[in-house]
Amino acid sequence: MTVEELYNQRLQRLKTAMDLGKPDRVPIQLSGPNFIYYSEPEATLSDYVLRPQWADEAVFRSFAMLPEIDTAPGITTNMRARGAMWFSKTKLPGIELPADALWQYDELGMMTEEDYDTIINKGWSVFSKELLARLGYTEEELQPDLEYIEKMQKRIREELGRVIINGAQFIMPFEILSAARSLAKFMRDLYRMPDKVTAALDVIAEEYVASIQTIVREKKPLGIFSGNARGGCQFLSLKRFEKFVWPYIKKTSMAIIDAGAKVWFHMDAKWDENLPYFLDLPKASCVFDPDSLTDIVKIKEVLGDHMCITGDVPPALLELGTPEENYNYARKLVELFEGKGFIMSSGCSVPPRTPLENIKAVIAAAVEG
Amino acid sequence: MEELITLMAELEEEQLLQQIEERLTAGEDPHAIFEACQKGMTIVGERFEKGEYYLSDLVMSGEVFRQASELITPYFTEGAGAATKGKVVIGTIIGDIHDIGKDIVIAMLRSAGYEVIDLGVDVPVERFVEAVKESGAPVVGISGLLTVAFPPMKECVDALKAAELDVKVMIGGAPVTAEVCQYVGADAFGSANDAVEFCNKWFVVTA
Repeated sequence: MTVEELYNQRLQRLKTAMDLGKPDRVPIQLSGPNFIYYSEPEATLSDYVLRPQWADEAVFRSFAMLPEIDTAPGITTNMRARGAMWFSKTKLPGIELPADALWQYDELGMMTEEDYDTIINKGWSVFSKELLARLGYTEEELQPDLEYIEKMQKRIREELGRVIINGAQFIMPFEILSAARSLAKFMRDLYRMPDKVTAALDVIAEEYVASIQTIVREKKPLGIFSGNARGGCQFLSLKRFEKFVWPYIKKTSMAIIDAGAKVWFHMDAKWDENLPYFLDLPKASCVFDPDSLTDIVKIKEVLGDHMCITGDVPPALLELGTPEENYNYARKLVELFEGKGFIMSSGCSVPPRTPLENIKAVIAAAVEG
Repeated sequence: MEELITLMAELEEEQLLQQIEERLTAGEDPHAIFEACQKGMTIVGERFEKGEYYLSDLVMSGEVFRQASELITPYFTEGAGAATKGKVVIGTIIGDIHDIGKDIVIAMLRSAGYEVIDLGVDVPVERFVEAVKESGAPVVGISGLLTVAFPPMKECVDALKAAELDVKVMIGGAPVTAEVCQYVGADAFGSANDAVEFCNKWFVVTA
């Protein structure tokens, strides 16, 4: 089979699952900082920072060793500016953190209470540029290397034959404000100035809708990433979820769906009590991608007939468990979903020190059918 | 004091702080006022356990309690501050800079009457050992949100044992499970409210 044929087979497999069908086998989506080690055991996570192109080549070689994975590896760009997406400073391994620590985002909460008015009066795009400058980011740091990204995306398809699902990432309005203000201050704002918060959320969602429509029209991606973590039932009551979170998830999701792409709900933390709300969205138009903290059996029970679900091998199991334990967990997932409307995945990205044997065990469970 | 307890438990920030100021100015016992706030925080913890309160409420309660404490503390006469149940050393382990869970645990422990030595985030193993030696705290809390935190958490527990420090260790963070607890060699793992319960149990034994 040629690489192009393999690509088309993988694409079809993923599309069938996302349309709630039963593909030839369960599609596999696995990516994360772990992949550098499988071809370069002596590497550290600082290599993603200090020699990113070398790191990408190492990850490519690891992916070539694992042809069962259907989706693409990440591309390493603008490591210093990664935190900008969360309006945070970025702490990098080998620079601010130990060489083999994971890069992290330092929420400085530089958005002030008065800034809600700036968002409401001047708009989110105007304010967000102002806030990034306040955080010390330069235009140059924030400018993605589009030439490199395009080159690597072409290689992902033509050399690896893997599918890039999402054409853009949107961190949902509630999440972005919670990061810009920092979690503790934002949670207090929900008590102290709820109307200002919702007015700002309205502005952000409106601007998101316009951007989403442009991106989907121009790029025609399979999906758009909708990032969520703090809006769920671990952090908020359903009453607050209905006021501050759900209207904005729904509005942006409908914009994605109406424009012709699927919504890829990346759902960190717990969402068990929030699941029924997602039934409001059209059938077979979304993917629910939990991080293992939401009960996968409950997700299947509530949303299984309504949207594709990824599951959800827990990070701690991947990193500390045995191959047998990982295989058994992954097999239970395959059996739970009966191979239909399901994508095998890790809970969030695969953690750094995951042994290759554990990855192979998860893959074996998925391809067994 | 029932009203103060209720205002704290209901997270009525403005009313609570106003009442505290009025009562202090009127010469009421600051210890009784502080205890009322602590009782209110106990109710917050119970409501969280029952699923009636959420993390956003715990964060808010920590903030309200901090402000209340700042109002009350200057009224304690020298040498007669709020009685503490004991000392706890807490920090987020090296390589991890997440502080939300750690800060919630600290707020809950302080409101429950413990003196917390907060080492901050990205804390080297040696710093935990030093802090225990300096303070004599019999309990250590190690926080970590990332799986990369597991090996240094284990190193930390090993280092505390190697230094022959008689401490109980509790760990917490979203990916922490019973298996992780066993791998790390900690005595317990759990949520913010669990941390208070562990300390209540351990300090009864060690006091």
